[in-house]
Amino acid sequence: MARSKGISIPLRSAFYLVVTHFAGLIKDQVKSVAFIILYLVLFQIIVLDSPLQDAAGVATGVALVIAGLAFFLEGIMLGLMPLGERVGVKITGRGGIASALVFALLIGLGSTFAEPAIAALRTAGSSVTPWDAPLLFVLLGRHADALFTAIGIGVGAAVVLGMLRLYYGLSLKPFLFVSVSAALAISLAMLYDPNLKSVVGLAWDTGAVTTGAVTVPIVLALGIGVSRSSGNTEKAGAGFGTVALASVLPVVTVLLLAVILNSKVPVPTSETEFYSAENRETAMMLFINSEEFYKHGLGSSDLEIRKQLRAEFEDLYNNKNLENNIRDSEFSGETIRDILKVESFLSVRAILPLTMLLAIALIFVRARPENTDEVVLGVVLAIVGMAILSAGIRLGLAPLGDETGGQLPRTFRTEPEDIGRVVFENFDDKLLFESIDVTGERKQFFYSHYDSEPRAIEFDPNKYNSINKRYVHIVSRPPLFGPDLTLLGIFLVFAFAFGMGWGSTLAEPSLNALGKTVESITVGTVKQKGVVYAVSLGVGLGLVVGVARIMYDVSILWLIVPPYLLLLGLTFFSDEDFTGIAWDCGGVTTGTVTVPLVLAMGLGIGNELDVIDGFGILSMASVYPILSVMIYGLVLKSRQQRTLIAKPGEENNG
Amino acid sequence: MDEIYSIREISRITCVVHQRLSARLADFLRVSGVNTVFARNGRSVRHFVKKRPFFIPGSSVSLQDSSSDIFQFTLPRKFCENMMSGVVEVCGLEEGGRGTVYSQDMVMYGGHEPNIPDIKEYVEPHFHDDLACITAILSMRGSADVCAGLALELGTCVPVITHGHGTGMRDKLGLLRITIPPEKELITLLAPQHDADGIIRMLVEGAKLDKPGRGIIYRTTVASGLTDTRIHIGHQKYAASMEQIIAALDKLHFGTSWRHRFADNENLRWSHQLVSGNKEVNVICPEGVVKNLTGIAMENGAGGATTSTLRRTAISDNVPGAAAYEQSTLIIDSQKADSVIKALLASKEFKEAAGSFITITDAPAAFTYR
Repeated sequence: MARSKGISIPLRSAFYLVVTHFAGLIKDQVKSVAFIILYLVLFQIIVLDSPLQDAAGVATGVALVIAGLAFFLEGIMLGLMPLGERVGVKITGRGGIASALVFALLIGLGSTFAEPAIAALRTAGSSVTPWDAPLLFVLLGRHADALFTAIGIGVGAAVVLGMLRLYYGLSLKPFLFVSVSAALAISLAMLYDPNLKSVVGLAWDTGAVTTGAVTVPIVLALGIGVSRSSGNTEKAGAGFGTVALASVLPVVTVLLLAVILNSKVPVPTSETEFYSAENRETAMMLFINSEEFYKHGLGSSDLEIRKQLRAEFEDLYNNKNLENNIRDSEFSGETIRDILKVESFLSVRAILPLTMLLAIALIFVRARPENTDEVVLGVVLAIVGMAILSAGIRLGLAPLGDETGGQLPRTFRTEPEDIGRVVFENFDDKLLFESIDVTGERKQFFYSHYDSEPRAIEFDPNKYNSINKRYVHIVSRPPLFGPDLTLLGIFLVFAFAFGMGWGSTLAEPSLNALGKTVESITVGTVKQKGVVYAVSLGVGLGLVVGVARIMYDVSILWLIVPPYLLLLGLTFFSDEDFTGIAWDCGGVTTGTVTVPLVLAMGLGIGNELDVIDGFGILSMASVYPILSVMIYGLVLKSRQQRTLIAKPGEENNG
Repeated sequence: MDEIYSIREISRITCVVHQRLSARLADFLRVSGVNTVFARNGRSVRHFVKKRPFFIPGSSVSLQDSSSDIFQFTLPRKFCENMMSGVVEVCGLEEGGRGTVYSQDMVMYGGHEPNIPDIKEYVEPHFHDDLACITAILSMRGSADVCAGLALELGTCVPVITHGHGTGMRDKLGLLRITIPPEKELITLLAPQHDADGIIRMLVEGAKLDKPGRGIIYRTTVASGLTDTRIHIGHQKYAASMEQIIAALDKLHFGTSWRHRFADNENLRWSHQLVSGNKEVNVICPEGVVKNLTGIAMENGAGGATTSTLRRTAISDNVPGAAAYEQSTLIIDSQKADSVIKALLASKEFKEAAGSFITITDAPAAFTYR
């Protein structure tokens, strides 16, 4: 190699070079993260009028997120993408298409195991109950393995089809028409079964979350490599489109899995009926073992059920500490070191196996990466970056999102909200005094200084226990915008959802990687900024729609079917290039940064309104960006068309 | 040298067409039997003129990108003009806004014997034979747009921008090289030969090429060509655009020499002299080996190279080889060019059978920071 004759750089200049380089990277990320952080903090302080809790923790987290994003993105560009592209170029040439397909299947399956989306899905479905939606409950609990496998098969099949398509230079459009229509048709058919109906949201969300921050760049680069080595770029659109398939096919496989499992699962019932002794055998089927069943039952809100199950359980196991055990395990504190440890492990698991798979493929075709040292450095940077990034999200961004998301319902609430209770011991009637208003109506008050300053508190006789001299005062907070101003509140929720989607998408690392790739492949005719802004706009709109679904409890089909039909129509008229780019964007949007924030918001609102589950919001964040990018593409196309004057007898599209 | 490499005097034809026309051009080339066509993506930049809104007088000018495909192939010299005429007719290039076609005479080492195109006789449009091709390889992101803006203001032609990766100093830094972005922007424009050096000097100043680490600019000769004259799009004031008037005058004067704008002796007054007597060497080979070949060239005196990826289209059965190719462009002093080419041809990595070849042509003027 020519590099052996390297020139030596004095340590100081080398240090200078490295520092300026990484300072540039960090500056970029500060820009991309600034919006979402400022937005969340300002929304909380100005609109919600509540102080930031644990500001130090959030600040540390944000710093980690920025550093993590910078390292991770550099790692992707330096290591994972060049490696993936190299494999794509080499494997079809020397290994033949058959070995390329086997490898593609492995990558697809591997990526599901490397970046399990199931955690995000479980969070979204954390309030699913076994009596309202038994099928959904088993999919997330007892049969999670089956769900996992179905997703894996879906992604694997997608990568295989994607590679096959690029190799033979087939258009992406028929693949999309068939798979999307299949998914839509199955979803529609499922409406007629109460059990299957509940799974539709999960299935579409699965499609959105499967393709993570590591899978996207690898699959993208692989596709570009295959497409380049096959020379069929005119018809197949330069290597895009595989990520899109990887977010549609899992929907189909998960829906099919639900149909298969449906026969083994009881129909939805009420809670009391579910826990009744007659129903015990069927109910047990939904849990892995009876202990799990009791754990779940003891967490029930119904006191009668709790009592009954507790008695049964004590008979059965003679173990009185169960409830305490559950509590203990749930409320263990986390330190930064613990989080970093866990996230480092997860990040190694996400990146190393896939990289090894790529390396093995290269060895198999007897090729080597162009710059082995760069690739190794890139992979190390990616692992470190991802660990820091996820730790930062858990420490800073997610709590911040939780805090704001949890308080968000206050903006549209019409009634005062109970936020705590104070018990006054040694209460005495003598403390009471009376007051009067203009109509002559009287009320009783007493003074208290529990909050350091003396305050008048209205007296409610029902809350006074004269025997033990205790008065229980419920502390409540008035609605944020008065009892009637809910319209402003709802508008604020929508505005918040939009800003959250916009901001978190700007920071999404895999979208930035995709944007860079798009810009370099189109030689700058499609700018990275354009794609990122179009996608962010789409995600923002999608979240508004998703939040509207949770607030007004609209059926998910109403939200999924029309946009997808519109998309299929637009796809028909769109360029091959932009079809791939746009559909890929949909798969890319819901990644590392967006998912925790979106879920926090969705669940915050969902919990407030007692909605069964928070599903659907992620798929909204995935379909609208496709629409917005597609429209952006059509606008660009019409602009480019301006340069070309059609000759007589020639249709406008050349 | 163990193997004897074939040396041919050929013409290389470059067609830059709007992306909508590229499928048609590719089909034409496939049918005509040209065996090695290399394509790459680029973008053409034009002025987009818009009237100001709200009755504000005047108009605003912005740069407008459009995707183009650049096809390059080699032919025996005597078939060149007819092939170009064919391309002009098939793509309708006589109309502005559709594309550019030009041919350059080169010496080619290795590679496959160029096929004799199997096409009918086309009516020859008026090709300019006094054009020069100016290429700038720019390291700073965004300088290509600066250069494109300048070229458009001069009204020379529609510039085409492509992307490449640089090797040179960077590769001697070890892993520290990751701190220097390797991406290069390549901008190519056609200009009347007698004005070319003046334009180069303007671009040098515009893109600050007289500062270290900014890039290199050079001129190569063009045998004949037809340029895209649709420099402005959007709002138009007169019955014919300035470009159309210039094109009409070109036809009347049988050339572009009447457009002479820059003083001949300007180079003497200018503080930075253009360097003459360089060669543009292009090494084209299947993907993966170009890096090692560049290393060999640099050991033998080349200063640096810019690599761009190509895809081979119109693959016919009788010519083996993959579709992913790479091209490395080197600007070398004429005296060193021979030894570099010898070393490249002697290298084991250079496989003629796999379709690797080297083209070499004169670069009469060049400029970079020294």
